[in-house]
Order: sequence, then structure tokens, then C-alpha cells
Amino acid sequence: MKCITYVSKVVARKNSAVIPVGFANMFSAARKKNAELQITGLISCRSGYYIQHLEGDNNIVDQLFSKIKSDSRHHQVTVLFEFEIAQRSFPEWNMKLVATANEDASFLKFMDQNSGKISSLDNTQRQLLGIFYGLKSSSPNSRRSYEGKSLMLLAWPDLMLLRQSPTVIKLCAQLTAQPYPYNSLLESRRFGTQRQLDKILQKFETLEILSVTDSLKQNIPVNRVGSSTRFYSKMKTFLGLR
Amino acid sequence: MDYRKLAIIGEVGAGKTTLVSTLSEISPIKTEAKSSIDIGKQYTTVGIDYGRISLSEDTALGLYGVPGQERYSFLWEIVNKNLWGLLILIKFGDTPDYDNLENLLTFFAPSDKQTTCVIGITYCDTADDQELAALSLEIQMMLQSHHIVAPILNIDPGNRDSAMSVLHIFNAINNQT
Repeated sequence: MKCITYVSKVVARKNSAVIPVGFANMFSAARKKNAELQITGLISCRSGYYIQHLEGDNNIVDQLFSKIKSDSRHHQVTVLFEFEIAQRSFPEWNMKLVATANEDASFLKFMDQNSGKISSLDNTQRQLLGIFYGLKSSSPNSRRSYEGKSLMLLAWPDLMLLRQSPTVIKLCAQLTAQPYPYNSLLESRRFGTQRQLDKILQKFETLEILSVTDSLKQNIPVNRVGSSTRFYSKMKTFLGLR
Repeated sequence: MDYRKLAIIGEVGAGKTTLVSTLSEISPIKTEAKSSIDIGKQYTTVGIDYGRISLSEDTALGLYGVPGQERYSFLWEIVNKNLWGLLILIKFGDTPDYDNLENLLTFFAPSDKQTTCVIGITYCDTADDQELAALSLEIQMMLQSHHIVAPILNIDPGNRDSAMSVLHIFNAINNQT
């Protein structure tokens, strides 16, 4: 058996927007095909790049990778690792999609086991790997304080990953329209204790969807244009929220 | 009269007409016609599907299902004023038509107009979590390219609870103090 780990660039659209068009269908098709071919691995997409790890029979991996290189949906395909393996690193997954490779235990284990190979990568390869690995640590000791900061979402999290907790949804809703002071979130007690709130915010930071800036001079957010207490009071009744 | 508008837009067959029917308290005014070209279904909306939710005698939410095809952009003009929310429906399965979606987003410009936007992925009952995550990833990158911060929900347009969950999200985002 062998494995190949490569990074490729998402093809930009004609308006220069970087959208992995057709990724969902490509992913579904790849999983089915990989199951037939007994290929396992991982894929992630970040900052306009894919990283994919393939492992399986030597010939099959080579054939598959050859197809990937000629696929118009991949640009600038760069191999990071290619070597013989005795056992798989992702045996359970025909293709595991991870939001942040840097947080995936199997990926981190694979990297740890191959740290020697990382040190022999050239500068270009290291920069590409750096998009997915070795990012800012989110370990508890390095976690920042949000005191005095303003927070806003850059994107909503994948609610399936966060199990659609009502608290998470409420917090996302609060941070969608405009920056909101952390201290006001805390004082409102709508999002649990400080520890519980910080835990959610840290998760958002890990997912790279939280903007943290110095607090605004105006500490109380302005009501959104057109909102009215009366309308929302009736809406609450309609939705059965009271 | 306190009247707000929720626009529901999306590609052909994404479930706009069904969602308006599910949520509306009145018999929706449907404007479906037999399609003259093969679009994957016999009937398609050629006007606005209008429905309404009365919250009290003098308060209501209007539901406007708007065809996603650009040739009906004159209808987008009618709806795109003082929106309470913009719901974009995307049908699971086919690769989304990003040219069309980007046209819609450019026109409705939810980021510039501070219109609350929600994305609903419909007809995804056969999809697993990883497949949905892959589609969400695509859509999320499109949203980010338009500077839109919006939740992506799985919606069954014919299911009342599922349809109501959309209103819950709009309400939660809009009703901030």
C-alpha cells in the first residue's frame, strides 16, 4: 500500500470568486468510487486550497492521483507526501471531509508520525501545508480573554457540527448583523456562564468564523433599522416563544 | 398596518411554492405554468407566489416566492423593498447554478442593505451529514465572496415544523437589541 497527500488550488470563477463549484457532487462520487476501490483518506478545503490524503493499493492510488492531476477542478497540484505504508491512517473513511484539518485527531496523528518528512519539505510545500497544519494553537493555555472586545461572526458555523444547540443559534443570531460587545453578552446571561460562553466562542475561533476586535466606543449596539417591539412581540406569540 | 416582507428565492424546483403554501394562512396565489422547456418538472412559477401570516389584526408577514430565473428579474424589483428577510432555497443533489445565485445576491445585496439572509437546502432527506457538509462548504464560500453572514439550514418545505424553523431563525437574527 501507499499514500499520497497533496494540496491543490480551487479554481476561481470568472468573477474571481473562489468557490469550489461542484465540490459536493465530486465528494459524493469520490466516496462511492473509493469504497469500490478500497481507497481511504481525508479532504479539507481552506483559503481557496484543497488538501487531500489518499491511501490504498499502490496502482489504484497512482491511477486515481493521475486522474486528479488532469481534473480541471484542481489547479497547481503539489504533492506533499508520497510513500509506502503498512497500515492506513484513515481506515474508517472512504473520504473524510473535515472543516479544519488542524483540529482532526487522525490528521494530527498522521502528521506527528511523519514529522521527519515534514522537515524535508521545500519552502513551497511547507507554505501549502501551513494552510492546513501548524496553525495557531487553540489549546486552553493559549486561549485569549474576550474582555473588552467586540465580536462578530464572519460566517455561521455548520449547525450540524454543533448539533443545533439553541444557545449556539441564539449567540450566532446575536453576532450576525453587527459587532457586539463581549461584556454585554456576558451580562445578559443568555448564553450561560462565562466559561460556557467562552467555550462556544473558542469553538467559533477554531472554525475561523469569529472576528474579535477592540470594543466599539458605542458599547450598546443600535437596534436594527425597521425593528419594532410590537412586531416582534406578536411574532414571538406566533412562534410559540411565550 | 405593520407589514413585513419575506422574499423566498431560488432555483427552479427548490421548493419556493411549497414553502409559501406550508406557511401561509391564506390560500396562496400561485402563478405556476406548464414549462415550455425541460427544467426537470412540468410546472414552474412564472410570477410571485404570495402568502400571508397574520400576527394580529394590524400586523402581518407577507411571503413572496420569487422565481430564480433571471428573465423574471422584473419581479425581483417588486419584492426587493423593505425586506424583513431573504430566504434563498437551494435544492440538494445538483450542483447549484452559481451564475444564477450570484446574480440574485448581487441584485438583492443583503450585505449592503442589511437584509437578514438565510440559506435553505431543500430535499436533502437522502443526504448524509458529510454530503450536506460538502454542499454547505461550497455555499459558504459563495456567501463569503459576497460578504454575507448567513446560516445554512436543511429545510423540508412541505413540513410545517421545518418551515417554522426558518421563521424562528429570521426572528432570532432580526430581533436583536
